[in-house]
Amino acid sequence: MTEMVYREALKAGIREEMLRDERVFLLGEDIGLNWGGAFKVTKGLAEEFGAERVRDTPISENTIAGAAVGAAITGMVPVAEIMFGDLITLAMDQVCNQAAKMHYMFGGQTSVPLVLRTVFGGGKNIASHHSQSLEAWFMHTPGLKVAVPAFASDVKGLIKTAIRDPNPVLFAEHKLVYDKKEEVPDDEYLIPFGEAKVRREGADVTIWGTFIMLHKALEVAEELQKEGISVEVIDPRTLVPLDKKTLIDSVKKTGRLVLVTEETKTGATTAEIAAIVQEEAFDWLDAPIKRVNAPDTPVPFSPPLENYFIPDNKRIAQAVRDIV
Amino acid sequence: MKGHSRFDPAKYRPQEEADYWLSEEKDAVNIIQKIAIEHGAITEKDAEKIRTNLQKDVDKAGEFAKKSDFPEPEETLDDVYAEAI
Repeated sequence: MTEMVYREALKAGIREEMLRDERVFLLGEDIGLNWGGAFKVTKGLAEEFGAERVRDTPISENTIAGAAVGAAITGMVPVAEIMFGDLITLAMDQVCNQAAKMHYMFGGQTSVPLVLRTVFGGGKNIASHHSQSLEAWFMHTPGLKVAVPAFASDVKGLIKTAIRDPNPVLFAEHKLVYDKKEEVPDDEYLIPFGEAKVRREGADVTIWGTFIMLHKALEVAEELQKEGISVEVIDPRTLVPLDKKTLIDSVKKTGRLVLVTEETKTGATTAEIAAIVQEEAFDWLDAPIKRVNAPDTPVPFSPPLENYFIPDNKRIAQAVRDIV
Repeated sequence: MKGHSRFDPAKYRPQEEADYWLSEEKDAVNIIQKIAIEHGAITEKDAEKIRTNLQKDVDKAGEFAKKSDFPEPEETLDDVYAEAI
């Protein structure tokens, strides 16, 4: 095991796949020579693999996604980067109308082995066009798979699985987890999609969440332990496919559920999860399901407003206390 | 010609290229000003006045922002939808 930050673990996974399979190539804005991407995930890869396999593109999200779809259906394995998740709106036709539907509409005669990496989340005071959490849009689109790695040890195994998957994968990252450190296995490993991870075991309440909210939930769980409240924390790791069983089993054990994401509340992934749990585990619930999300507004720029917008430890802890 | 933001020193762009696009003949504002004057839409004096006033507005807005208190957290919820007048 080696301790490394999320960003480095992610790069290591991409690099291993590029070494393994020469069809794998990267494209995106400023990901290449002398720069390595806005969040430095691809730093050094262009120097190692050359500008042919780590391709800088103009600011043209629709073309990045479209070129990647074309490459994917003609024998390549593109890993495309959209610098900020917010800007994926410019590529939505290629992602949701083309990539997601091709296998189905061509009766299984073609597949789209495409990974579209992007980054969501706020907390950096960079305003509404660089801070949103839009994962629910992609969870809602049949034909796409959606990965939401929140920890360094997961991101490496998940990116490798994503690259080997014959389907289009929206691989969502989060700005505030790039620097999170963890022990990462030295030997090659893949993490299957659709397997949640219980990050902390507990008996009284289950917290299900994504990205930086999981890191906060773990801090809250530690804090609440001192008050005698035992919290279980579940990381889905992928939204599509979704591991319902781990969640339902946990709810059957604890009888209480708090859902925590940074998304605006209406139509968020948490709404879907709440619906699933009430359909499949209603009889085990001892209290209403609680949702902790952002309010239904654009992400504000001003620091005090953004702090109000993004759920914090206090709000998460309060939601737990409300139902125990 | 500056970088994408104050964090971007724009080292990837040759200085001569930036200078070229900032030159009197290539600066887009200068070009449109020249066309407007040629067509008689504004005078040299009008153009000067527009520049002075705009600079004043921007400076004033900057001062206002620096002097203002931060907003109250609950103001997050304001202005999502327009009200019917």
